[in-house]
Amino acid sequence: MTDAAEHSRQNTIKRMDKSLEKDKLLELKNLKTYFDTPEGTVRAVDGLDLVIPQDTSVALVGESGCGKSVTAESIMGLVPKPPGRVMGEILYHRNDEVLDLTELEENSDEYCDIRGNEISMIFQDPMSSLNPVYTIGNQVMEILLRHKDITKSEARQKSIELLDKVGIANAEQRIDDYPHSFSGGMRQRVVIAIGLACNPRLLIADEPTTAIDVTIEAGILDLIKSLQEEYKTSLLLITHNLGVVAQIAEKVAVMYLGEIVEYGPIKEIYHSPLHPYTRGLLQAVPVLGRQQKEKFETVRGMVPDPFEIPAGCRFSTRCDHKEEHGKADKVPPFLEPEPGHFVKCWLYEESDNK
Amino acid sequence: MSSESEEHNNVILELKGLKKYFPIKRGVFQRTVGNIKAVDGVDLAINRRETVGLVGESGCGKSTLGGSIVKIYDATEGEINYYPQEKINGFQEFDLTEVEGEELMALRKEIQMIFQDPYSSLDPRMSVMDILKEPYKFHGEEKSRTQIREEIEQWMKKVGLRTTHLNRYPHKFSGGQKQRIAVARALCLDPNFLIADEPVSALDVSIQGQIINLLKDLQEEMGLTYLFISHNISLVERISDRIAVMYLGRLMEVAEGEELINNVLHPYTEALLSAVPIADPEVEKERIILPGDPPSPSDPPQGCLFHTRCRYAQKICQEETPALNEVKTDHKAACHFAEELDLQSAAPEAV
Repeated sequence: MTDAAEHSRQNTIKRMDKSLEKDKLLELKNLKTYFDTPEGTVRAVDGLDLVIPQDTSVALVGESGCGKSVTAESIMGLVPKPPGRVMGEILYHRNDEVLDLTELEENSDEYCDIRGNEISMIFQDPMSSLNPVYTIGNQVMEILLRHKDITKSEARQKSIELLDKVGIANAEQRIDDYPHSFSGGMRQRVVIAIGLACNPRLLIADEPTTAIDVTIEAGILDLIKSLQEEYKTSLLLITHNLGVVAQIAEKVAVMYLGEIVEYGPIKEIYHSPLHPYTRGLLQAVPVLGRQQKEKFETVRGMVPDPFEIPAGCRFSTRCDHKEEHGKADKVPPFLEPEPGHFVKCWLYEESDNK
Repeated sequence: MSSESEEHNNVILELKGLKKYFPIKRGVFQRTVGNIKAVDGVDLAINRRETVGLVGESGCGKSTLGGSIVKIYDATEGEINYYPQEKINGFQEFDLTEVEGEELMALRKEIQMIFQDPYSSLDPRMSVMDILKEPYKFHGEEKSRTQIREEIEQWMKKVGLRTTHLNRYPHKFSGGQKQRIAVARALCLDPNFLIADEPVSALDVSIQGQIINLLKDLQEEMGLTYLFISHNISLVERISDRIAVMYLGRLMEVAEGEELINNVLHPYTEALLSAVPIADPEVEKERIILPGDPPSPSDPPQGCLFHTRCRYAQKICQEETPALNEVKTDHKAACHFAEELDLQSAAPEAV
């Protein structure tokens, strides 16, 4: 990276920090997660800067293959190495100390004490994230016994409370059931109970409702939101559906091909999206009761091959505005056209009122 | 001629009391101990050149319904009447539950299906060329090889793929492209009726729109009739002329799209609509969260199937099963109180 580019990056980070209203909890700085494969290096996450403040819900939105799940796995220390490589900084702020998670050994006691305890994660598919040969109670108690200094019977009592809290009726009896006797929605509730068991400071939810029916989805999202508020947990919600995040997130980061192309408060993203990609994504979501016979507005083309990421602006192969500025072959800067609203696009200029 | 033939001119497919039960077998002798009532008495008429959207939660039987029409499953009871545009073997009317042999082959050409998951509906060991040749192998006897090749090339262009990719294998394509191949395979024999079973739910949001646009364009061009099966009511509303809402193997409400979302008559539809997330951070809406999960189709509740989760349920709902009645013109609902309830319609900006 050239000095000028690095300088502007640092500047933007400073301004991003300034736009925060709360203390930082987790900070991703120039995060790069690469995978070395026989065909070449896949740059799944490529220079990502993101801050998750305390007690805030941040949504990371993007299409499949844009690197959003890999970002989560990098934070959790779940990237297999090799073929994976995690570079950059993942700064975790706790009690006046700052820990760089990339420098910790994945299996070290220190990381294991954080994982599941202070930072926990809910995965997409509740069918495969629960072990079929252990009872529900076993799996909830496991995390409590690992991280908390409590007896088995206390852990059981706490598990029943947790299951009750996530809306499982008859928790006292159902705790001894196996996952197969739970429906998809119920299993996801169990997974949420496990995620929140140790009262984590950050909960990462990776597409928590994608595998679930819409009538159940609403309930799960409401549950995550209310528990996040109650426990004062930060939330990193990863999803491909911009419709889902409107009701739940405070800040939104839109990701494309391993980098963040737009970041801002939820209202700004919805009402005045800046990046052509964000606009395309918003238009692609069908809305009830709006002119139905019209054609779908879509983002044309498709996500480029991970081995052939376009040089310069990565979105240029699908952008309708690249003729307007003629700079598609250069990497656009990450700008702040409006206070607190950042975009990586040549179409905009820095606002004057900094 | 009577009005009946006129009606048949308009109707392409008519389901009458369609039922599909899957037996549950237990024990050494595999005795049938019960039935999973996947489709339990569906009446639905689909008009020529219209798109009917079939919505419901997973497990409500919507895919089984689609599968029964193309005879992936043999219906347990009821009729599936198909009225082709032109006479086939001299007949104007077929009951798909009874046809077999040559007639069935002729009808297979007429009714095609696209499946949900393009990753598993294309054989990974066949090249695109082989995949697209397959339909001609069974149904295009009268066409010469060069003719077939030409047609396949045209179809590749029509669905937005390059003809130079014909020799590639499916793994080289993205999900959206695979679904385009599936569309070409389904439509290359010039069918009249297409069943699309969740054709875009495995795809990214930005790609979904492209596939929907493609399906819409081809419908217009070829005069197709669609049965569009999906769990996503916003998507269904966007592309369908009429919507049928299904729950536990039965239809709960059938109406024209706009009418359905603006004048909801069934409490289940109301809940379904209210569950749809709103793409506007400033709109707060009161969500109707349905208590519990849908009951098991092997042991459906007595009376109205929805009464166990319905917030308006009364005594009669537990005892009598409501019929799918025409409550208003072209608006049917299966609820005892369809005329009395004042239900919320969809909130603006629901996605």
